[in-house]
Amino acid sequence: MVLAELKNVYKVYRKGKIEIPVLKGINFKINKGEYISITGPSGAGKSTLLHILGLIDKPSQGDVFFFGKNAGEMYDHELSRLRGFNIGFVFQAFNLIPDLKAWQNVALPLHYQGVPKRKQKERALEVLERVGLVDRANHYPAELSGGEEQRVAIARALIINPLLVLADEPTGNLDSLNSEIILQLLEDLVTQQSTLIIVTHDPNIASRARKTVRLIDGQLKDA
Amino acid sequence: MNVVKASQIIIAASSIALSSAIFTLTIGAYQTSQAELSKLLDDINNNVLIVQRDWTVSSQVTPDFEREIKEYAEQLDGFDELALSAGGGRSTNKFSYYSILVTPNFFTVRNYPLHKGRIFASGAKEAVVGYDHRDLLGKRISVRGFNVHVVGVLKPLSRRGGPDRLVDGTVFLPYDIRGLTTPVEVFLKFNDKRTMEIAYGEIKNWLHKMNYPYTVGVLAELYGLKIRKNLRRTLGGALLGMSLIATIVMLINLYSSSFTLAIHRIREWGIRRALGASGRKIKFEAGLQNLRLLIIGHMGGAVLAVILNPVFEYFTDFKVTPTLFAWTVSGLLILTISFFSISPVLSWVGQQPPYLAIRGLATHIPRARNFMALIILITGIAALNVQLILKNSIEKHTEFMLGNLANDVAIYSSFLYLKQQSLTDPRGAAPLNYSDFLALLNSALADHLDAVSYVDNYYIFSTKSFKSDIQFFLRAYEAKYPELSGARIVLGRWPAQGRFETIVGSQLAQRMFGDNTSAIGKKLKIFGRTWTISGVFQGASRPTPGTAASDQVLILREDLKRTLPNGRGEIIVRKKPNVPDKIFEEIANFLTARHNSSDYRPVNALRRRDLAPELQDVISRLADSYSLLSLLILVLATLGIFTQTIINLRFKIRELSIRRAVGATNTQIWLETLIPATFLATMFAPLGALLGVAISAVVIKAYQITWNIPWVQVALSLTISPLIISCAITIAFKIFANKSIVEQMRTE
Repeated sequence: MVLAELKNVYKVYRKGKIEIPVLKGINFKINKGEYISITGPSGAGKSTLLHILGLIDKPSQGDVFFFGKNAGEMYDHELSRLRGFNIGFVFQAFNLIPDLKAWQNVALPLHYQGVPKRKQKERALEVLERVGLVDRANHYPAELSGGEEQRVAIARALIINPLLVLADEPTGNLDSLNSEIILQLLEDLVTQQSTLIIVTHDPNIASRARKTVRLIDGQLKDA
Repeated sequence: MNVVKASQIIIAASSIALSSAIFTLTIGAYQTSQAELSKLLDDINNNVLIVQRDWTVSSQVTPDFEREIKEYAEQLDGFDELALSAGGGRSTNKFSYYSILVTPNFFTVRNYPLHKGRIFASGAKEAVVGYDHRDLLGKRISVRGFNVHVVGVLKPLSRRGGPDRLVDGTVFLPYDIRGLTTPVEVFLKFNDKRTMEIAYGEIKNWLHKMNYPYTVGVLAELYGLKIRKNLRRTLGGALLGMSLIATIVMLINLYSSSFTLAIHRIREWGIRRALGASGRKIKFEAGLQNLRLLIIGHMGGAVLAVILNPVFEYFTDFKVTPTLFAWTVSGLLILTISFFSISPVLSWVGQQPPYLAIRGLATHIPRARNFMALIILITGIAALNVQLILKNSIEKHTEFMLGNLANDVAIYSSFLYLKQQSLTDPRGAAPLNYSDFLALLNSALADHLDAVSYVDNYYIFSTKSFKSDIQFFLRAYEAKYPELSGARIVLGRWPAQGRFETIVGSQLAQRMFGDNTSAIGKKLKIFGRTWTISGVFQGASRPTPGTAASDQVLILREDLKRTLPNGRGEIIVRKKPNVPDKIFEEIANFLTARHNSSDYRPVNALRRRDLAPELQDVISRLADSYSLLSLLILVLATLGIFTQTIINLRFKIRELSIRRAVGATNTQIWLETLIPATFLATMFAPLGALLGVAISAVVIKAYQITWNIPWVQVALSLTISPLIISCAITIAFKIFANKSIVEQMRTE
């Protein structure tokens, strides 16, 4: 079953009068339950591709389909809803909100789904337990180590039982031990029903995926 | 983010410019008014006492008065010279203008310079004329039975106001042209102000001792000098107060902007420090950046002051010429004061460790700016409330001064009303009488009127019922007068017809009987008949045409049963709703036509705004100045709140993008930001209102205005802050929400 599809997607960044093409006619289908790694050199457009897949960026040209619906024809609130219920993000820089406690960061997607606060906390603690951080639930991001911060970020991505988990260099800011823990967690926690896409420039991490694609010069090539 | 950086620079520069413009205009206004006042003091001799005939006292003046006052004045310290005037009147021949007999030195004592020709010689059949009659120079004219040769023309002087208002249309004849005469006014010039002030008391005592029916006063005060001084003091205070409020807002805006600009450059400064720049050097560079901003803002302020000047003058009729001196002083002031808002930012910049700065990070970000946004808000609301309360209080005070005369009422008076401290000159005014009133009632004009009344006015010099010799004004009125005059009953009731009752003003009641209550039931002997006091009313605090003043006595005209020869009539009308104001002019024409003679001035409708013009002048200028300034401050405050909102969102932009990435809609985030901010704004707005009330209380106490708070408008002003905040947040959101999540995430 096709979960998301990119059709002839182009992305061009403009710096003043200069246009920098990043993605050049990407066609890409993602099926439910896949584990895909996207590799490529720095500046190849890996993150841009992931952002477009995650509906947080728009292509300059081409279409993005999610559940067969064209995202380009959706309103902003429809896109937000689609993200909030179906897509989990894990960023290289963790992107936790410093003013919120660990459990509040994890519960954030539920907050925007309109789940009652008590339920939010219950679910957040459950997920934090799965990532082994329940005892750090009331700590602020500044009080956590880098590895712990990324585990909180994973918990936040997984709390909605997403159909699609997008991880952008999830171990980029971590040492090898913590990297292994994070990858293991992602692979264990992402269920058979979910799709996991990891963007990485590390061949060892890429090789763990069932499918690897390379992004070179703005175009996708099977590895 | 260039848009944010640019908006910070624009907001900070425009705040400085606005503040600088207000300061420049304030100083300019002060300079202009001081110069005007000094010129007036130079124009009128400031060391002159005026001894005037008191017509309310019936004592006779002996022919020796002129000689005796001369002899007395000559032995006073600092006495310089004495001038006389007498027998002012209107010509009844073809030259219908005011003439007065004066001694030749009158012109130097009063400082009336010549435009052309010369001053007449004592006793000569010659005349000097005011500027309006300059065509008569060299001609022979017949004035009050004297055939005189016009030998001189005075410069235009009416603009000096006060007692000089009629000078341009006056013919001056030699004091002794008709032989022996009694002076109406004696002008005593002294060498300096101090000796004049000492002489004032001595002459007052002397007049009292000699029982001469004259009063002594300071000539300069007839020009409303006290009022003019008060006007300038009030306006100066108002402008200065508002300038300070504007400066507080400007300082906060400057702090926020310089702080934001510092954050923009923190990475650059980190690199510079890593390359060897000292913390002091970095602080200097940051200071230089702010200094440039201040200079640009202040230069913009000069342009703005020039633009605002005609606007200010148009609204307030108050000259506020922005001079180079004013601009320089305001620049120095702003530069000095700005130190307090910039130095914490410079100190913050200097404290940032290079290892963090180089990564674009800071040890801490002061949260004071949120608190400052609230201060701006409170200041803006306070300024608005000061304006609202003062405007209302001044309006109330006008009511107190002029009586509660409605705006749809007009008065047609026999009196040529000038100013409180000028001589009231009935000559040449159409003698309105009861037959005019009846004619108006029977005319078609009456169909447009809701109510019409008539009052006869009489001077009463004393009555046997009074404890002491008290002079007062008696008004014999027609039935509708109580509702038209604006007088308000404070005790008892209006007189009932046929019972020979009277009602007295509260001021007079207190003078006569100690308090209002004691006045009720007391008897007064007026025109040989006994009248019982049925009530006490509160009217205007000073006598003006039409309005019943609190030192007057009212009786029903029908009870008087006659018209006395010295009565002067006033007709008071109230137009029906929806009838245009033109009706008042038509009535004036109707009454003028009934007394169509070149000897009389046309009958004019006096409206509320025509009474006590100098008071209205103060009121409108003060109120308009405050309105304009509070508007400017609100603009500044709004700019400041926009700055704060943009800064806050700018710092939160990354967080907002994360929230959007995990599923929040723009509307959800907007509401999450809007609700607490609007709640805070709503909670803090009453503080602003309270501050406004407190400032107004101080101003009202200082200027002894009647206190009056417009509660509804004050309550409405509370809605402004949440409104501004929500607009600011919404607009700032529009700026940021349009960016993609990825773009927002890349924001440092």
